[in-house]
Amino acid sequence: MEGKGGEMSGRAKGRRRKITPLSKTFEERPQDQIHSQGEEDVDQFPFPFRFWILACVQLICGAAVYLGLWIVPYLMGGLSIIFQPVETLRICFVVAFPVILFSFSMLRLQPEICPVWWAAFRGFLSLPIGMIVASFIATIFGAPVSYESAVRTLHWGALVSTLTVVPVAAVAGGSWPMWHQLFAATKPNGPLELALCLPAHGAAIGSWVGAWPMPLDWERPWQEWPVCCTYGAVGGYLLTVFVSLGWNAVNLRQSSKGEEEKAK
Amino acid sequence: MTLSLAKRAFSLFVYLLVLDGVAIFFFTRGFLLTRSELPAFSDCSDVSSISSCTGETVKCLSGECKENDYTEDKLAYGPIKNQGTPELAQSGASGRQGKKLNEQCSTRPVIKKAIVLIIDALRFDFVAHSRNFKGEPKPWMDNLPVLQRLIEEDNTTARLFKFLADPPTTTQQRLKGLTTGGLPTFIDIGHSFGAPAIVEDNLILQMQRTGKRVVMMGDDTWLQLFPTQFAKAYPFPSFNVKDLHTVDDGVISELFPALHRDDWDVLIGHFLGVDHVGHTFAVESPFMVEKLKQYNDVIEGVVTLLRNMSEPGGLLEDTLLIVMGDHGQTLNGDHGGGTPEEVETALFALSMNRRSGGCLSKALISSCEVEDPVIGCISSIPQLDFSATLASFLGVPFPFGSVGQVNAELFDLVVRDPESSPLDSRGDSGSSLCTLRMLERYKDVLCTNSRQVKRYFEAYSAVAISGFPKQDLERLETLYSTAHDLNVTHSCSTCQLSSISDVELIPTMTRRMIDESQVQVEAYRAYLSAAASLARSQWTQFGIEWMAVGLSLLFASIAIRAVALHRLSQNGQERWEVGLLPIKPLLVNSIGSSYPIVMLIVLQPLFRGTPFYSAMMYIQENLSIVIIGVTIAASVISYMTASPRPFSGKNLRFWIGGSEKKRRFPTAEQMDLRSLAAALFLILHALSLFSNSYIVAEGVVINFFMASSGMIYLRSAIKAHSKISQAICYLGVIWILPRIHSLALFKGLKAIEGPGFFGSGLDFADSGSILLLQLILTITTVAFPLIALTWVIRWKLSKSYLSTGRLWKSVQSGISISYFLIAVYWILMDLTSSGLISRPDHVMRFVRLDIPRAIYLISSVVISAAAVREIHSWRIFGSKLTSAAEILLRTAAVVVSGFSGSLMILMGRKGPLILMAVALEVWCFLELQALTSCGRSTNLISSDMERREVESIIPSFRATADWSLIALQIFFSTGHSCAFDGLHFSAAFVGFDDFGFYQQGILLAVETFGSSHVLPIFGLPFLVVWRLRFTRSSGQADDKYVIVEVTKGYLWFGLIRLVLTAVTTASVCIQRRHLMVWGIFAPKFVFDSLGFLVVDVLVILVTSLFFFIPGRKQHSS
Repeated sequence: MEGKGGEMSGRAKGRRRKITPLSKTFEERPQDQIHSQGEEDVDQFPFPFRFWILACVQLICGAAVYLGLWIVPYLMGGLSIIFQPVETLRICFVVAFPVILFSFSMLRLQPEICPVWWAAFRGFLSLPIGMIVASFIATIFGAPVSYESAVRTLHWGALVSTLTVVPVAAVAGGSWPMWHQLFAATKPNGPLELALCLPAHGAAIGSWVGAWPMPLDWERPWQEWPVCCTYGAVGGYLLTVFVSLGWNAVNLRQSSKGEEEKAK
Repeated sequence: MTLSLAKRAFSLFVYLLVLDGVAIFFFTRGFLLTRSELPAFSDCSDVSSISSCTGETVKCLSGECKENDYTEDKLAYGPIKNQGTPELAQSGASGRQGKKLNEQCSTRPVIKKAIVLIIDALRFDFVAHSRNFKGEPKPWMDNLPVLQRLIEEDNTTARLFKFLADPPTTTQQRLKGLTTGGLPTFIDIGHSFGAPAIVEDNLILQMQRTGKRVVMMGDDTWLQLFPTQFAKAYPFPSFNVKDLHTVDDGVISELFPALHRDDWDVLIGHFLGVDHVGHTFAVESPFMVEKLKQYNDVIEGVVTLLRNMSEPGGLLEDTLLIVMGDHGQTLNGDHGGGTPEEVETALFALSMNRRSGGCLSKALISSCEVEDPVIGCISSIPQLDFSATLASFLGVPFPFGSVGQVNAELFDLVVRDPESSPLDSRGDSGSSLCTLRMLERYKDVLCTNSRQVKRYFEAYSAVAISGFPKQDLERLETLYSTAHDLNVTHSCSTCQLSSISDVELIPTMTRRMIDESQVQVEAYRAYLSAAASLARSQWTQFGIEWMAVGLSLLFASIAIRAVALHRLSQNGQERWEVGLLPIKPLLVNSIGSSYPIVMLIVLQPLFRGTPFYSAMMYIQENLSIVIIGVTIAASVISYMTASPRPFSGKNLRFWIGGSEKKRRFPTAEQMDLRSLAAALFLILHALSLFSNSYIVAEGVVINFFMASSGMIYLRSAIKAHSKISQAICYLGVIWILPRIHSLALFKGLKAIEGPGFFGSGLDFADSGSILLLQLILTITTVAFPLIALTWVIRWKLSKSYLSTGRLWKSVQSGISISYFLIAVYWILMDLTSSGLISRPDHVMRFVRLDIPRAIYLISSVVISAAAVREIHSWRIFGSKLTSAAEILLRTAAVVVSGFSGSLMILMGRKGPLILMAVALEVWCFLELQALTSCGRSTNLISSDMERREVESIIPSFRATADWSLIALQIFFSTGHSCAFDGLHFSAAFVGFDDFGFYQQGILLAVETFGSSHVLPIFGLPFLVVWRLRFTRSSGQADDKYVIVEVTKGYLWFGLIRLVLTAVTTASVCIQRRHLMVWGIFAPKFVFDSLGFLVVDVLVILVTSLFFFIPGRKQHSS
């Protein structure tokens, strides 16, 4: 499952080039600058603020996903993922997608050459690609392919790619080294990359684990595709959001000590 | 004794085969316990000699009360006599009853003739009205309107029941169960190919003995079960499931003439069409409707004849018509298991005896399965009861081994009170008198029935090796004596009734006596039901100790493989090689261990009277098996302890490869993501085998794991920046492979275009476009894959090691010819089956029979030529020029490609496409092996890393685990499943029309295990050598190295499969009381263990090639 992001990145890159040749101009520069990016970031935001902004963004995204999946559908006439999966997934997507897209657009790399609208735009562009690739991968794993379930699969794919691909696309755009580093090598470097990488993997692995109860003959409505995979994806996402927050907080103390020593 | 490494490896595999075989045999002996079949038969005399059941009450009513005799009863049940009324004790005159009973033998016949029409795989919803089912009426419902009409017209002469079969729901087991009234155990299913005659007492035999003439027509399974018992038989071949009409047309042509003749008493007609339609086209197909309509006409005809000829004195007077199924089927047309769809079938009974309505108390009729708005309650009958019920109607003795009871409702339907007509006029009291008499008769029948069951239980406990548990027998005994006491106390109270002169008292007396009889009937029924449920539990009684021994031997075999792998990975030190198969300790210990047992037996008389004696008697009884078990156990222990160095705690850490100090634990590079994932998948897969749902969904589970491993490969490929397209292609094949089988176009255009399926969308007049469509279809799905495969074999495979030699050239041309023949075969078959071209029959016969046979011939010639060549060149030249890799690859390539032709024709139309997908998948997989654990691509590999890759057993595990997953995926995506209904019986008739046990068995085995066992195991050397190409910088590997790696590969492959098999076995053992044990777990166990033995045998075949490798090089190293 972990290769998923990697493949998406490959596709995303290839297609984006075809769709919007404009982006080339933005893409070629970051590739050279990717290593020096950390220092620029420091310049952009003073050190302790970076962490708090990131933490706020992550918490907001987590809250949006949670609200979107459970609270808002409930308020909107008692919908539930178990009985109205398509409608609920759509609501969850509508609630979570703009929040995630715009909040991560705020954290984009190279803000000096990349305006917010462009970050949001490339995040938006990554959605259909991610959705289709995620749905296809779901069918490889055994999701049914009839018309009715294809609708469900696409809705699920939209939600999952909102959780995995969209933030990365908004932050890093078509930067291949970044995608490679996050999803193929799985070596996040710094708090921002961790906050991108870990929840994405959490969502993917969560939905992988979420598929396990499906073959059981308990005949519960939540065993239907894609209910438990959605639970898995959102559960994994929320869990890893908190894990990455905690991890960053622990590292914050250490690195702030380092900063202080440096300052001395 | 010094053996080369190669020979040691070969002998190790032989040893493992023996070990696994014994383990599985032991477990099977405990698990698939058979019922002991008693050779005893019921007889008129043995029923009458103990009988106090029949006759007297009837005689009471006809004023013979005073003449009744209870002497025998007093003899048999002395203490009870005092409880009887004084009148009873005084009654005399003995001779009459015995004589009378001898004449009428157990029960009085109430029907003269019976017609039993069996419709194979009759679903309950074929017969019952569609209003009883939820949702829209399905196309297959309500196609037997004649039955529905009869039931609705008069529910007292015609009635419908839900007929409940006991699994296994295969025809032969069901026929056995229906006729013997017993519970055929699971092991019988093994005889499904060569149906053996029933040796137990059964209904047909009893009919023959009492002079009833039984005529059979239809399914020839009957004749296999009862070779001599029929007065006349018209068998028709049943095994070819594609043949929808032969059996049915045969039955129909014989049935009506037979009905006009008077040369039979019982007529059995067995229709197979519905079963075959289900197997071939599934329930929803239009053929099913057609078939059912045909049966409707037949039944209509039979009923009309019956009506016309059933007047008193007519040919069919007092005839009972029964239309029933032997089992149901799922919507896919499968059966064999225990799901409601398969178990529920229907029984329709029509009695031509119209003397009165059924007046048996409604209270007896308890089980209401379906509440029909028009006809009321539809109740259910277990198939167990069929034999006893029909025997009681026909007046033949109950079969000795029957554990069923006479069904109350059928009894009520068929048995008529002979005196009812005059009494009926008396209104209410008349009907209650009728009820009373019927109850008394039913009670008598049940009494005889209970005696027979009791006698059977006694005889069985006396004879069988594992009898019934004591406390259960005692409980039954109590139930029986309760019932019997009641009977003796009350049986002649009816006599009082006839002697009562006061008319006013009659109704109250009657009512009281009805209540009393009802209590008695219930007591008997309680006994019979308890007996049946005890029998049900008993014949799934397991030999726990055998199972435990078998299971522990299986786990011992796992341990041996692990130890062998550890010893093998010690990188070529001589003493470790010896440890691969330490022959001397093995032989000495295993032979030595049986010595004390033999001594014990010899010295046995000395121990007489000691507590050991009974244990020794047990050993002596099972001497051969005990000796085998002890020998094997000793050899296992000696293998484990025969360490090449002094035993120490360090030895136990055999999991860790490499030399002792350096690598206690695998390093991070070895335990990379792919190995961890492979181990995780194996563990998850093994755990999933404990749940029946996962076993049912195993194909999906395997696919899920394949997809996961494909994603991991993709990730590694992206990480390494190489082989990305292969990884994507691999994922694509994983996506497509399981879907090929379920593509609708393989069912053939004919099935798709069946009447009413496409509606008027496809016009048959437009045959030109259909011809075109069919041609395109056939060419894309058959011809194109064949061309691709030919290309692979002719050009791609030739590029590697095996290009040289005339043999390979001729093999190539042979394979090309067989592929061409396959294409011709399918094009002709498709075009004729869709009626587009017609050829004379003899041409089509040639195509149908001779082309497949030619392909089989080519395959066997190619494979044996390869074998002969190896032996020949080894003899003449001593194989100076060949290396181990070359021999292995060449033979593997010849066998795999030669075998593929036969396999493809057996797999049917989808064969070529599936094999092409498999070839593509394997190619991608082999390419992806270039990604080493470090995620670097081939060229970057350093010498240090090479050493690590070589020494460790981890990479070998990683590759083999994925290989085994691929093999499993092939098994499931070729439409197989671990259930007996997953066998493709139609494959057994490719190239043959007639049934022969061996040829059809071989074809079926090849089709079942060919693609998923033969191909992967013969292909494993490819994987090994291919991997070496990437890991050895020197390119060419030396022989010893290849042998070690191939042996490692097979050890891992065996280990992985063995873990799965052992877990299946353990789960079967744990779940042996599970509801689904016979439906799901037991077939899974049979498939797994058989498949595993096949793996063992094939591995031995491949490793026997080691003998042809020159030994010179190994000794030098």
